[in-house]
Amino acid sequence: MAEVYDVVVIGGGPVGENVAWYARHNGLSVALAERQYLGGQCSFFAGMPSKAMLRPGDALAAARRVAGAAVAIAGNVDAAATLRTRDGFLGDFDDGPQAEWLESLGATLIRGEARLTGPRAVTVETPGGPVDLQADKAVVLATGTSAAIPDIEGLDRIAYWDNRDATTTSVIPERLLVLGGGMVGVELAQAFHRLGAREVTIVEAAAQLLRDEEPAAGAMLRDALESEGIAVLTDVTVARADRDGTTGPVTLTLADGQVLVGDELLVATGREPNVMDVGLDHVGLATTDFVAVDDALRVQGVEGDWLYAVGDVNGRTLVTHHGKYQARVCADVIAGKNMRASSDHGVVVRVAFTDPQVAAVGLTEQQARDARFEVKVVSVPWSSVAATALMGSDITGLAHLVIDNERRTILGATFVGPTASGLLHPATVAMVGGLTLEQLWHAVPASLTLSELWLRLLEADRGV
Amino acid sequence: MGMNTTQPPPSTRTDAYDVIVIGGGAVGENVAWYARANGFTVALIERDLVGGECSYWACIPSKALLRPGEVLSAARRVPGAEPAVTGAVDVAATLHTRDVSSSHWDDAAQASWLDSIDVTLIRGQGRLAGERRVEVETDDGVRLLQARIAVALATGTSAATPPIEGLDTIRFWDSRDVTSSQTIPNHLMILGGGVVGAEMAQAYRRLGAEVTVVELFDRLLAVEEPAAGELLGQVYADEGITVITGAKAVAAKRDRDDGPVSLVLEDGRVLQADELLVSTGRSANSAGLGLESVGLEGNDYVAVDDQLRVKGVDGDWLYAVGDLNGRALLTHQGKYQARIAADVMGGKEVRAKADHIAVSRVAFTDPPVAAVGLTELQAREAGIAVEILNVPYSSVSASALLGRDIEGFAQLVIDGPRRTVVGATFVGPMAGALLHAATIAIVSKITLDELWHAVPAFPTLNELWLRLLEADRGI
Repeated sequence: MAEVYDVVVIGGGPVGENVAWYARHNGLSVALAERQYLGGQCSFFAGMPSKAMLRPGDALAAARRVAGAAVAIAGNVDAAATLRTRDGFLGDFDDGPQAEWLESLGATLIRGEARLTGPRAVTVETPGGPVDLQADKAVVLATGTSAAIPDIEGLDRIAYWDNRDATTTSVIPERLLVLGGGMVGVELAQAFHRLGAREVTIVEAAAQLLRDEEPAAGAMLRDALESEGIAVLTDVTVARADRDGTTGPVTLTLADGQVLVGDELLVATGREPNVMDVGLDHVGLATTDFVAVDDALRVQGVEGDWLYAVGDVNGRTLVTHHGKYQARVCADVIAGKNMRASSDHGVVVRVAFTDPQVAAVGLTEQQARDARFEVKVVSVPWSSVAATALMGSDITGLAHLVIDNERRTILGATFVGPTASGLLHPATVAMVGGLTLEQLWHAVPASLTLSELWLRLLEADRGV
Repeated sequence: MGMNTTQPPPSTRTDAYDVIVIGGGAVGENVAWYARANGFTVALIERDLVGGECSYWACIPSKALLRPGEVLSAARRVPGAEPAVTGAVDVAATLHTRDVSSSHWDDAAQASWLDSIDVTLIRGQGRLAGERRVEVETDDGVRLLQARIAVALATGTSAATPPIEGLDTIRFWDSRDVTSSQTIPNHLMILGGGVVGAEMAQAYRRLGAEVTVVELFDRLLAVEEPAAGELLGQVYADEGITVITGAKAVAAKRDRDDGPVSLVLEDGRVLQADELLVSTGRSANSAGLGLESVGLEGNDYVAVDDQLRVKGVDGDWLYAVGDLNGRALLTHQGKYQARIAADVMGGKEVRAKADHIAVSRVAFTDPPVAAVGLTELQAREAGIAVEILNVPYSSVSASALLGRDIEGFAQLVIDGPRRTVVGATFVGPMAGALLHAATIAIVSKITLDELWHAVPAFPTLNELWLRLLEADRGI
């Protein structure tokens, strides 16, 4: 006989955990099925470990830019200590604390592979045999994505790294090839370079790094990476991949005949939804695509308002914090609250934790023009505020707003520079509130903080 | 001036400008800049260095003194970076950077910027001489100016000397001396643990001095939330800075200018140090400004309305902006008033409303203390039905990524019935970056329920905003 819960969550990454947490808070009974580690991709293979690998290089670079501090820095990043710190964040792949936390919330954790078997019905293949679950109110899919492997001749026959391998490795390769110059690729390229990889090469098919961001952001990041010795190739197509055994050198042959050799290859070209084995066919859905949802996070094409998909698997925005946002909204919708994931459309926030950081929210200029807004762009360099010189020498950066000049509101913002992510939340708040630039005029940034870039942007809008 | 050169006769001509600004600090410069942008002709009068207190003797040099210690302590908290940090702050390099940041106390660059925006710089002591009339005592004699539209007073404040027996007879440091010193005393005593005192205590400690802070109130940064000053006090104790709170100094002694200085406390204790910084407050630079010529008192802050017009003067021509009006003694707030004043002169419908509700302030200590709007106590005294939200830095992943032993908190003061933010305090590494979102929230009166949809990026410190909203929900 099936166990009955108000809500059954499939997938225990941060997004699934947040559904469980908020659903419990709303007084609903919850079962959560996870086949591997609670905390998921983000805790163990992406968000936290990659940042832990970047932070030491970031801290030393910041100190080296300050004359009175530079002489106190004698060495480079300590790779062994850095990997130990990272392992500390990984918790040695022990998700016991997370399991205890779930238990403390009163959610039931069921370990095993879960799939839909019909309306409101889920079966989990546990080590002790199949467990049938029945959802009174909702089943929530939160199975996320995996690295997508591009169609390159030879790639399917060789050993290579995906983001999981790169963020859990205990080896710093001498020569690292990075296929893909998106968020994952640029972060890990810089992390490995600063951890001691002698040659790091990023191979990107698009014309710029971070292809979905402002061209100026990609260009500025490229300059920074190149100046510290990372090779960046853009607009290139990889024709084939070869490897000498499973641990020998990897060779990438480009369409123009150029040959790149590395000791390891990281493939970071994109993500694909984890939808193959979750039983979508039992409710009449395709098992190959992202699961389309409406703003209540309900899966489109399923009757009865019981099936939800949150986080990466719905393909709306592939970033952890938006997945968690969807989780909060979803748990409120299930509890009957009038809530919608309004921010997913125009106010998506993303950050590359490189040095310089690239932080952006909302639309790029091109996206805004494509959407037929009356676009006005204002852009100021970091050198326009005193805080930049006080941070250290040779700091370049960009602050860039895309404005709906009809409504006088912000459509998008991009900040590039050390600690740029600190500039982002004001933009997010302004966009969510639909605030006009004239209202923002009265939000006075504190002297000698980078927030004075906000003043410079408003002055640029005024033409001062 | 050389006595043998041929002096031009004192000018009897009166030069007329649309706007005359007395005081060329950051605030006066901004009045001039924005007035020019609004199409006015502008004369700016400065008796000392263009750029003023902030550029040469306050904000800029003090931050240059603090930054090396901040980045080194940040690197030491990161296990993968800590082994590479083998030394301490380089005093000579830091002082050199400070000198460069302060342009070696030379204002040529600022003067040429004024020139580039067609503002006439007149060097000398300016004072009012009746309605719309200004006299300037220059090296070449007295010049008379006439303002067609407005005169803006932007003369700022100076360090105030507290009434302590003997203090007026001895040599001591004020904020200018401490930010421009070429030496680090072995033992620096600081009277007053406000922003200036707290910042300089840590700067000098990290530059190698023994430091003692004497504070009248029960904590550092007494005007901020109690938890802020308490946390800072703990950090200072750990760094070996002596902070004596609840202590009233009654007498000061110094036998010779380069000898040790003693401070006698009310309880009889006698403290001795090599140098004394007095940072107990500011007083308005209103004396000698000719306020009497337009019927005003000449020894206090100059009261203004929300259009920055001086109260009690007819004809809507006299403005006072920045520290001098006493509304908010902060450079950025003064510059905000400057922008507003220049727009009011230009006939625009604007008011300096942020002065009342959203004054932001940052102590660039490590950890920084950043606050905007009302403290809990101020909100309660204003009769607001207050709710307090408070979360520790440790509640977000970004804090652990910053390194070991990161301490800090985020606090919001909420107007319960309206569901809006009326005050915010952030203490912890990078806290200054958390502030502007709060400032925007206060100014726009956006509700917590709207803020729910402002998704902070993972893993950034902005996620403290999410934790605050979760605390509001009781999660």
